[in-house]
Amino acid sequence: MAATPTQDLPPKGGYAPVNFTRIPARSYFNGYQLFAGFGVVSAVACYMYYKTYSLVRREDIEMRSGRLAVEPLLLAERDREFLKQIRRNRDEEARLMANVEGWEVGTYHGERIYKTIPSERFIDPVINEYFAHGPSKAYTDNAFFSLFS
Amino acid sequence: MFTKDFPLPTEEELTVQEINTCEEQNNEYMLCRKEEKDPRKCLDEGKAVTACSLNFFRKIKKSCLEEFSQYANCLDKSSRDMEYKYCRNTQAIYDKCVLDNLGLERPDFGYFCEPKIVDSKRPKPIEEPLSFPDAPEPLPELPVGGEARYGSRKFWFQ
Repeated sequence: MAATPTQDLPPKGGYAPVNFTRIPARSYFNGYQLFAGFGVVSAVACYMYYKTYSLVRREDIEMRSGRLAVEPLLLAERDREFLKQIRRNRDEEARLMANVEGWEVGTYHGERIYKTIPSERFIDPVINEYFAHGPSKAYTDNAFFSLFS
Repeated sequence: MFTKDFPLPTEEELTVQEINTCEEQNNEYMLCRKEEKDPRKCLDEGKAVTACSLNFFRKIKKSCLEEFSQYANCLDKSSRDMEYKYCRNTQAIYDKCVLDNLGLERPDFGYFCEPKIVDSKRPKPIEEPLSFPDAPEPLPELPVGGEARYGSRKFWFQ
């Protein structure tokens, strides 16, 4: 009949033997050495960190010292300007509410804002009130200083 | 808010020409500010502080202007925060100049971070101890004003 079909047979004499014994990975350090290495690296890093942190703290002290030295000058100027602005606000309010009946400057139709404290006491104005008469950009820039500076 | 009768200083009292060691004046001013908690009561001390600082700047301007402006320029442009560590060279030159001309040494490291005890001539303000009466005092009657024309008085409702 037709030629014999070719078959995928094993080679003559059979396959070569397969080596299935375990070959473990080559280890360079044992467990104790690894822990020791970790300790050494940690110690060196700790020393470097200590040195750097001391330096950072010294720099912080210097910077803080410089800022505290300048602080009274800046505060003095700021306080004077603050009081000037309060006076300007009060005058502006007097001008605005001149024709309103029963209005006293700094009160709500004659009623005091803080009723139980003595009237000589200085209470800081609310920030909306402090910037009420100017452009709103002044309010946003100053009230949200860290966002817009 | 501040009524008509509320004592505020006038414009003349507040207008001061603006900018040696100024340590005494600075300490006095900060003590006043902390104790009185009222900017109106510390105006004299504040003026002393500004006057002292301006005198110092005048002295520097006469003798050490070059070094001062170079140091300031370096601090300004070297880092975001005006850190001192990037400007040691200019600082050395400036310190030498100030020591030669004005006889002022740079204060010790961390000098201004130390707490200071200020012996001030001004008497300490008396703090009244809190009083706790038996029954709360009744609030005064509200004046007859009608309804609120613009809604709530709370300032955060715009």
